[in-house]
Amino acid sequence: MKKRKFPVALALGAALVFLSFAIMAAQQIRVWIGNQNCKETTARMESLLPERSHGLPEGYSNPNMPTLEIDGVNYVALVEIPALGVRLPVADTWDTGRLYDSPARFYGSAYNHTLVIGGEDNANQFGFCDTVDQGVTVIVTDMTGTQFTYRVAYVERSNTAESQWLAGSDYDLTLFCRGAFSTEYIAVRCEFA
Amino acid sequence: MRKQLTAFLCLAVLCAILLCPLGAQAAALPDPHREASLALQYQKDGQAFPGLSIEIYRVAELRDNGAYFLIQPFASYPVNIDNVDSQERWKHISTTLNAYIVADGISPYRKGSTDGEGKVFFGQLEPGLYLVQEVIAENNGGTYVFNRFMVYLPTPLADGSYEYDVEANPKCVGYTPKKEYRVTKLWQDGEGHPDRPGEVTVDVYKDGVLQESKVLNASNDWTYTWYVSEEDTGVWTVVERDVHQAYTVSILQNGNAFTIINTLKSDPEPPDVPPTGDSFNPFPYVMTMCLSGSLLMILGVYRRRQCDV
Repeated sequence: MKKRKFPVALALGAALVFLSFAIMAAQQIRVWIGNQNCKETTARMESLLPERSHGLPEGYSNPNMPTLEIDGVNYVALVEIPALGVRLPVADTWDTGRLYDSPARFYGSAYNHTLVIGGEDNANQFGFCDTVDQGVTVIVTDMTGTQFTYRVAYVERSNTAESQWLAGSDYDLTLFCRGAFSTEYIAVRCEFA
Repeated sequence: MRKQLTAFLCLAVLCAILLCPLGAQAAALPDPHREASLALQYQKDGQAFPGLSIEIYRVAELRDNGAYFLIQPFASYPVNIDNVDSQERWKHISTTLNAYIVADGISPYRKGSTDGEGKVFFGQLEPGLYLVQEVIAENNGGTYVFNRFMVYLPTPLADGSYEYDVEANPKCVGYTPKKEYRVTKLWQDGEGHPDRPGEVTVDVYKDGVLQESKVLNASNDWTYTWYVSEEDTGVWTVVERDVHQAYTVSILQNGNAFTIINTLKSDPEPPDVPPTGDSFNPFPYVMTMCLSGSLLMILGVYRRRQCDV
């Protein structure tokens, strides 16, 4: 009777280990697919954007940033951090289920200094949030080609996903993600350069 | 008998020696009855030009004595094709012949179309002198002109032999770059709106004259791109037709890029701050599962060994 229990424990243990590795592998595959989609969208967006310009576009009184539809997804901006080689499209609609495909606008607008963009904590997306230095330049380009340049002011952390904590700051731009290996949220607060 | 045989052999050797130069001379003449072919490849800087219509004209025939004689309808034109000793003269001849081709509406001897690699092949050609017509190719980068030229089939080689299957790469002798214009449709309606139409029509004008109407929709990324010659000085404009009543329209121009923004007339309500929606992080659970599994495996192995002992 005892002999039967040992293989059961062993088998159960092996199954749990296998399952956990399978989940991690699936997660990595999802990140890889998302990265490919992100790169493709960025390339298409780059080819469609007009020449870059500075200054607010017409219709500034309307804080809604114009969107460009690519493959059925409305994109609102291109976010770049030249020093880190980051160049990512920003979807207009916040949907955590699609964050692996591209970062998304969580709240606000670049036109009224309230823009908050969320992404995933992986090396190809918002993995920089944890390590980015103060003073690094962040460029947000809207779909009319208008560029808004910011500098990283400081990096803030929180253990809760409070929406007001993310969107209620006085900073002109916030980039955030949740730590991949923790429950901690990392918010990169930026000011207009 | 032996003397006769020796004399015969000597005579045979003498004949062979005497006839040898004649044989060599005969081999130096091209065969006017052997089929030839011409393969052309239209490329510029590694860029192939597919779908080009290529026309060739058989201007002269090759006679048994190796000479070329103009054939009809070209024989009726007083064009001298003998003793041509420079590329410049060939160029003049091809230009002159082309003038008659155009003036008299002469049909090409053969026509072909380039494949995906810019290649076209003309097989089973009668030997003669051929004119390969000039080709104008266009793509988004510009307009390319590939030269008109004359070619002998077969083509004499430096070692005195002849190439019957000739391959040639027509030279690009002209290039006019193009500039790109683009119109892109953007929406300013919050996070999408039920009234947003599935497509819009944009009219493209040059100097106030309608050039074309284009439908923009998701399948073309709401964008239309057109190319005009670098030398074009026209003023290009775009307008959107039949704007949906729920929207106003504004058109921005940045260089050669137009942006048409449709803005919802009724300002959408400022959105509430959404929930982040991702407070669940599976990583700690996966780690716990992995550690539990590992401990169970260690326990299993340990208990099994104990049992074996």
